[in-house]
Amino acid sequence: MEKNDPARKQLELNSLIEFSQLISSKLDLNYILNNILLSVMGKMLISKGVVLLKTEGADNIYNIKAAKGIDLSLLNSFVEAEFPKMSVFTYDDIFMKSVFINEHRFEYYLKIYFQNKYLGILCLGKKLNKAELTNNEIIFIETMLNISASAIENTIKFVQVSDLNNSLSNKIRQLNSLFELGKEFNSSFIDKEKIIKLLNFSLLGNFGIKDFVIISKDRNKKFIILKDNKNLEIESFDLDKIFSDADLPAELRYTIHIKEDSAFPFISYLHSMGFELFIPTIINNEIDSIICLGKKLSGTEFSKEDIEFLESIMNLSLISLHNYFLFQEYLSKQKIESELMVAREIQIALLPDRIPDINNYKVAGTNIPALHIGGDYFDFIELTKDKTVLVIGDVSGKGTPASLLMASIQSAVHSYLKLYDEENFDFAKVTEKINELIYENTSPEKFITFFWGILDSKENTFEYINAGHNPPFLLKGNEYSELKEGGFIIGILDTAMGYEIGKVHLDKDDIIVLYTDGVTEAMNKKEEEFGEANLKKVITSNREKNPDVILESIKNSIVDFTREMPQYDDITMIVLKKIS
Amino acid sequence: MEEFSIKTKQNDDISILELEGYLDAHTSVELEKCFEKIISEKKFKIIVNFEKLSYISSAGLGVFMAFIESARNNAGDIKLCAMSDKIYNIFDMLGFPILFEIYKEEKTAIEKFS
Repeated sequence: MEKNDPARKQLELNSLIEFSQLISSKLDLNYILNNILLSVMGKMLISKGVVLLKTEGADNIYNIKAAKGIDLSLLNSFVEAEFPKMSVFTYDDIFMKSVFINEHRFEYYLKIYFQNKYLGILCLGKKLNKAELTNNEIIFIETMLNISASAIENTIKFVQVSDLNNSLSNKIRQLNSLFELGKEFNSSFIDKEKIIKLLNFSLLGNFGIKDFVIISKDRNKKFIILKDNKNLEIESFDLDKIFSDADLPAELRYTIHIKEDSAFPFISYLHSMGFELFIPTIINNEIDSIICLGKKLSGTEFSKEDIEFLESIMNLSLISLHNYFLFQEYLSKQKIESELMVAREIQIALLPDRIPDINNYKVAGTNIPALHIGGDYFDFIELTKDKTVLVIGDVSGKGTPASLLMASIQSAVHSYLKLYDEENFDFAKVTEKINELIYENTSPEKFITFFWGILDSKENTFEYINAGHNPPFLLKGNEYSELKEGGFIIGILDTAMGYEIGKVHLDKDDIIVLYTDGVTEAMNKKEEEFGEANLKKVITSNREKNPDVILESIKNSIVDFTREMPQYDDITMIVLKKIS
Repeated sequence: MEEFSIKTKQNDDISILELEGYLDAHTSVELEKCFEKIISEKKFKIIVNFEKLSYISSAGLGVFMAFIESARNNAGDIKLCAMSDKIYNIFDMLGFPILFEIYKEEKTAIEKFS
């Protein structure tokens, strides 16, 4: 059969040259192996053949990398086969015939070596004309295989390197997107919606994940759904009970693939809603948040690398969400702060801007507002040359509402006293009017303890009405008395009972101290109150001094007493002394 | 690189492939795909017209070898026709005329199927 004419030699050489050029020009394993098969089959009139590549690290396991003339679905599958030591042999030479070999009955087997490394084997069927392969033909095939070996080896190495490269560039891409996200998440004006949107985009962009649900603890430690595009019905699951359990099962502490037959009904439910991955975030040994993800667009399973990356994204997003919540808290504190600033401004504006000069008397007053403005009020109003009104009050509540109420009583007091005429002034009646006014204009839980008195520096009398305020002290000689006459707290009752007027006579060195409960109820670390006894002690020991010094001494004693404890309530005092 | 193209037409149950240009290892992939498609559609009577083919390499020949058995096992065949002398010489040199029916005209090849 063999024709040895020059034209045939020419064709053989041509095909070898063409072949070697082609396979060296491409780093594509399938292309190279397909060419080996087709060229050999075309030249040798063989109708079937495969190339089996050795699997690294596993003897006798081969990968079907190229196949012609057989069932192509076998491509890329793995088969077991044990071949003799020879480099070229036939079917009959095979001692142990595996299933694959038996089934396909390839006739010729030629091993492929690169240098001394065994790469795989070329298996060929019989010639279609039933002739045997000649020696020359076998040598020709061996030559082809030798030419191909380096290309095959290079390609295998290239595939390994490019796999490595791919996974590296994938890692780089992931790191970049984490970096970008980190930057976005840390920008200052990010809100909850934006964080969730960013998360959504990066899940879509990196994995094509459309569906996800975030379940997170709110400020009250209750699990709430932050984001859900599948409309989960979680009401029937007591998530707080499942996830807040101190004996939380270990399975739920780590990222898991959601399975249908989970021991946890909630997980099975998630499976039925199409979720695939359950990623919990643990803070202080408790589940803080859970993110469940739907399928990837590619439909492939989540790999270990995917999960690592996803966990990083989740952590980043959740930290941002927490920051967001903290920021919100900070903002609302800021809001309270600014409200307090308004309250303080109102209070300062309402306090008397100067201390009146009174013949034979000296007077001093102070207001030390607490952080959360208590709404204390004191005032001096000069009615005539001889008559001066002293007012002290404590408005219920704190902050702006208290300041506004304080403003109302201040304006009521000032309005009524503007109309003062000595003949017709009815002290008790005016107090009733003020009560009515406050009562009508405020809700019942708002009230004012109120004390006011009129000092007559000519008659040396002090007429007063005490509407539910801490009774001021009068120190006369060595005796303290309390100024209790008056009536009900301002703003609680319609004036039915009226107010009594108290009246005391003042002699030289008599001292009257008006104060609010911020003074006597100032607390130390042991939760003891400063108390009336301490107050009296300071007054007594400073009774020789002027009112401003007495006032300063009381302040200092309170500071000494409370030490580092914060001031809870406004401290307000007026000290009046007859000096001559 | 020279072009290679395949035109397919159907004559009753016979699929006719008209090859044009340069069939080498590189372009044989295209021919292979074409055969795979025809075989997967259960069309086993195939005629290949070589009239416009200017070159064929052994890899190109290999494609015919890879499909001849599945065609014949299913009561079909791959018949070749209208080769230039140059192309025929290559087929002849490799012993194809013994294994494949080769006709001068497409018409004759069609007649041989019926």
